[in-house]
Amino acid sequence: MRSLRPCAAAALVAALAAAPLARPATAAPTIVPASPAVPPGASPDATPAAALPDVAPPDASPAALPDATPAAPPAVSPARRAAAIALAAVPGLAVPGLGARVVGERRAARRLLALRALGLGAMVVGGAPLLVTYGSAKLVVPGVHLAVAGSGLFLVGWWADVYAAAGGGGGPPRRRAPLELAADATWLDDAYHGARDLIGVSGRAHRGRWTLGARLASGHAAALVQGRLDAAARVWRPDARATGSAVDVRAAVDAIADRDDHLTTVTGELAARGRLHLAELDRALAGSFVELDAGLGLQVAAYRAGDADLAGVLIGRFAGGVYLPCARGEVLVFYDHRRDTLAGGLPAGRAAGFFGSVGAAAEVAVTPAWTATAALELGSARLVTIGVRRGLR
Amino acid sequence: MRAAALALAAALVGCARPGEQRALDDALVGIADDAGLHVVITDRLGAVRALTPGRLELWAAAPAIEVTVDVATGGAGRWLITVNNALPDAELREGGAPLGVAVPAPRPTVLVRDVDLSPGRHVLTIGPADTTGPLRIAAMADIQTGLPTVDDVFAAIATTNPRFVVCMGDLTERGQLDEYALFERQLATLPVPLYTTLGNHELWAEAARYQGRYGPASYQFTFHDVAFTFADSGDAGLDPIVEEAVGDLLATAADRQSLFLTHFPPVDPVGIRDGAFRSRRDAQRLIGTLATTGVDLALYGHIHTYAEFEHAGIPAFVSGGGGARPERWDGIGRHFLVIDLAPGLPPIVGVRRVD
Repeated sequence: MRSLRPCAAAALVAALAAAPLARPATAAPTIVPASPAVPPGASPDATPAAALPDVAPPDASPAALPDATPAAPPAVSPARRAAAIALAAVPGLAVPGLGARVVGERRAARRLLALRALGLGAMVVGGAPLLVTYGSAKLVVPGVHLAVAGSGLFLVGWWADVYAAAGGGGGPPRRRAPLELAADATWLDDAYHGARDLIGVSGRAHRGRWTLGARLASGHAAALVQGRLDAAARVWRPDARATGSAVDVRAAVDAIADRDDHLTTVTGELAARGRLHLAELDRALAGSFVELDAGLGLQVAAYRAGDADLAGVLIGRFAGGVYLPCARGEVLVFYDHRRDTLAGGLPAGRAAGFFGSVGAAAEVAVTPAWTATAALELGSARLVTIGVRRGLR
Repeated sequence: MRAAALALAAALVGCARPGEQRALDDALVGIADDAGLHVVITDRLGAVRALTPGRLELWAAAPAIEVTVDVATGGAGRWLITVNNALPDAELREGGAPLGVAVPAPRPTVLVRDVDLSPGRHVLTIGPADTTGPLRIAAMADIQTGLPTVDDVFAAIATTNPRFVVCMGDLTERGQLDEYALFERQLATLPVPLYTTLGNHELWAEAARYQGRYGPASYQFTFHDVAFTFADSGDAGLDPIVEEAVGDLLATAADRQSLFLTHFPPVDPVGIRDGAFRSRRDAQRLIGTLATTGVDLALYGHIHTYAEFEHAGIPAFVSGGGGARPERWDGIGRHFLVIDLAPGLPPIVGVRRVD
């Protein structure tokens, strides 16, 4: 295993901090020449990873995106940047783009205003009818999907303003290896069972626009077994190895057998996942992204006694994150509206029974071939997962 | 930012069992010690509302309750015993014999007796003479903002002649004292008692307000050989203490007709809406318990509509038509259930609209 380079160390720091990295006020943007090896339909600015020659090239260098501006960012004093971060973080929740505006990134501020206005609009269009009709069953699918997606755009837009105010610092998206094999360990703690653990192995293959994946996890003396098969087709920017802007349509089958609970569930899922590298909105947002999921599922639950049940599942999720410097990986935080997963939903006080789980995930390349992964999910249960992934060519 | 994230995580971890204290407090309901009397309601089937010299006031959470009264020398003498929420034909007895002198009561569900208590232990029972035969009950939930007009619902229920009413919670909108007072004034319209658990709206204020008035949130009583098991799901789930206790209670009722009642449906019949337990896996574990313990009927509230469905093959109903803001376009509005129970027959459930 190779020793970490300075860039990798910065990536690890960023992963640990899970926060935008402040960039020196005088730093010039890194401009990387476009890669000639970009697959058809992929982002036109895919670049080789200069810092990591053994790693597949990042798929979208922010500096070279279509609307990126080659000019250096405005010079900002440390005091002004600190004020911008504070303004973006607090009043910025209600005033979109405030932080970006204070550091002179007016175009980013306007784009964030538009993004958050779109999010707020979706929240209102989706959520208000649900409130007025008190959760009419007829409005659940469009209403909740719009409300979750709108919340994602609104909140990630807020976070992106803080990111822009801090000077950004994220790197370009990373390209995945064609074949990835992974192992992980999950610590699962819920109020009823206490702590349990799972050891999992998984594999994922990418070819063209297609991705196929499988995972098997078992633990607690094999009392808890989880298996998952998924397939995805990238319908926008059809390069399945890219981690930049794209839209996937995915289908999955997820099965969990829990001998402690005498319960077996099998869930079929069909969903779309879209990710937008915010560099496509403005250079000042390069290195950050927003991700939305929407879909539906059908779950069969089999008990020790009685008939099996069939119930619908609404898939709604949003995430915001940052690509680590030098295409080392990414860190994201997310909200998942589902409550049928091992995490369940948050015990959210008066709102209990309405919210799903929140969490964070990170993947950091420690060598060109090996990637460390970690995830935290908080709902009714708490899950902490750490793992490693090996990329194969 | 990292510190804030850690604080948030700590806060979330800290409230992983929001119902734990309430479950522990349930065990202390129905016990009082004052004025020379030590009072214990067996199986916590009620609340001791007042215990002052010469006056003992109870709220019954079941058609028949047993109260053990240990009288110290200083507590001996005349006592006015008031039992609220009693069956109209209930009687206060000791050793099978009626006890005390009847005192006029403000409504048929209030029993008042003037009793002479001697020092020592007295095991009192409050209940009706009948213990077997067919039984008709009504079921409802989710009154909330409908409190000012819930007397309409109670009046409609009265016309169906139920033996008593069971309620799946959300008596109030915010758990305020004036709401509880109004609820009890409205109960004057109802000529039969109402046995309930709490809903999430009772938790907008201290749960002790509920438990001090109506007794435990999780409990079981048996009447006419039918077991009624109430569970506290006010936080969109059962605390492990409640889940284990309810599992044990349901197991004891496996050989008789068994009804399970809680506020949140474990799984929303409209699954994608998920107006249900905060963890579907916890919900499914509970449904598995209902199936293995032979529950015959499950009754829920929370969703302000009417739904008839099954889980694990058990007939289940959501009836949230007590007057809270209704779900639109479901064509039901205010309503309640009428349930006929007879030995050896499955429950027969009908729905009655109020408006």
